[in-house]
Amino acid sequence: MIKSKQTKIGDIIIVLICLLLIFICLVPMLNVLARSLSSSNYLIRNEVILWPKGWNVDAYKTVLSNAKYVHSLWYTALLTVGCTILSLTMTVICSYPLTYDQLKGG
Amino acid sequence: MEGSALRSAKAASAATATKAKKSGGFSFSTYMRRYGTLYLLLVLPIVFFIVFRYTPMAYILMAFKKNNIIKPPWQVDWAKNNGFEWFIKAFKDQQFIRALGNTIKLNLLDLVCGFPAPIIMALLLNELAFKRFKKVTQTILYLPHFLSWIIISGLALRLLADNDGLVNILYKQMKGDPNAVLPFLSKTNWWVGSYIALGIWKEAGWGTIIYLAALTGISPELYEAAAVDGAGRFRRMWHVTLPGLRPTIIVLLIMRLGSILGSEFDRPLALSNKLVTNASTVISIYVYQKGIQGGQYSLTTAVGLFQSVVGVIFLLGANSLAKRFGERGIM
Repeated sequence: MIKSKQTKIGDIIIVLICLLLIFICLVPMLNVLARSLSSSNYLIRNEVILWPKGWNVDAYKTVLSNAKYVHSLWYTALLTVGCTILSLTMTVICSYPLTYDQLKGG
Repeated sequence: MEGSALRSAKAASAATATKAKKSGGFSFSTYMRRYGTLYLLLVLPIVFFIVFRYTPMAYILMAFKKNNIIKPPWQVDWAKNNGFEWFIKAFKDQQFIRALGNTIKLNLLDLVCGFPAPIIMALLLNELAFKRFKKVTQTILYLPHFLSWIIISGLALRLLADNDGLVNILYKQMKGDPNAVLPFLSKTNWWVGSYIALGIWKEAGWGTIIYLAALTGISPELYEAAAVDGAGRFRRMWHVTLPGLRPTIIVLLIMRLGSILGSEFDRPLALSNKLVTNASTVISIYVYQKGIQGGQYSLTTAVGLFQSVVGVIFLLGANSLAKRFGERGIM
């Protein structure tokens, strides 16, 4: 397809806007990830932005060794799976009969 | 959307069914033999709806009776003023009026700013020429939907806090003045802006899924015809894409308007702090403070009933408005 110059400029602008949106969506999460993996002296001085400084996995060790947190994680996973199965089953068995127009009261 | 294919199939089968029906219809046993299993399938969801949705409606009576949750409401005395005591009390309460105003303000702003955002994003993604970049962008954009509001409030604190937030640290370095601050979460008007912006950040990506699905239903011949007629990118968007999205937009707008007075609980509670309670107290927080913490169950049931009634009025109004525009409403 032969594109005019205007269309090509429009394409580039759209790609730039999409990159900006991706940046906005990802930066908070990457920042938190970097902070969780940094050592505390850099954190206090607020120097960690996108890349962890002073590799430190102590936070993860603390969380994963505490039985309460692990139990909560396990319970969350169980709840999610159970609820998804239950609500999906309910939705399907409720909606299939409703697709029949001849069904009285449907 | 697959809904439109399903609807046309249903219309065709309904047409043949009405032609085949005798004047009295089928006999009961034939009807049951044919459709009995379908009714059997429906039993479980109907029981669920009756138990969890319709039976609790009996307790709406609490709004008109004296405050007593130990006895069921039909055994309690009627409240003063023919049962409307709690409604009068609620509307005289300054806190409730402020909560109502906050709810309406935040919901309207959410509607005005947050409703067009997925549409614009879907139009933008539709214009991307590179397929794989489009898929990657879509996936990344709807990631924030899966975070809960509690987590997002933590993220917001990390980014927007007055002294420790990333944005303010960079701002202080840029200005060279350690007292310069962008008060995203501490001043009332800025807080409202952050509230709306975080809502858009969370939900816009997820909302684009529905619009992108609806966009695939627009026939490419319309685009080609518009291009042949000399329509540029924006003209095509205005004359082909947006009218193609019109049914989806109207249905989603109706559903959104039905909850104009409703308020989610964890969003304002997680994002608010002691400095902005004037703007952050919405009806759900008021109900929580007065009802569960303060024990005034009848008052808050009255408030909830008021919310639901207004919501239903808005829903019916928006539905009839949509029907007048020629679209099919949701009921």
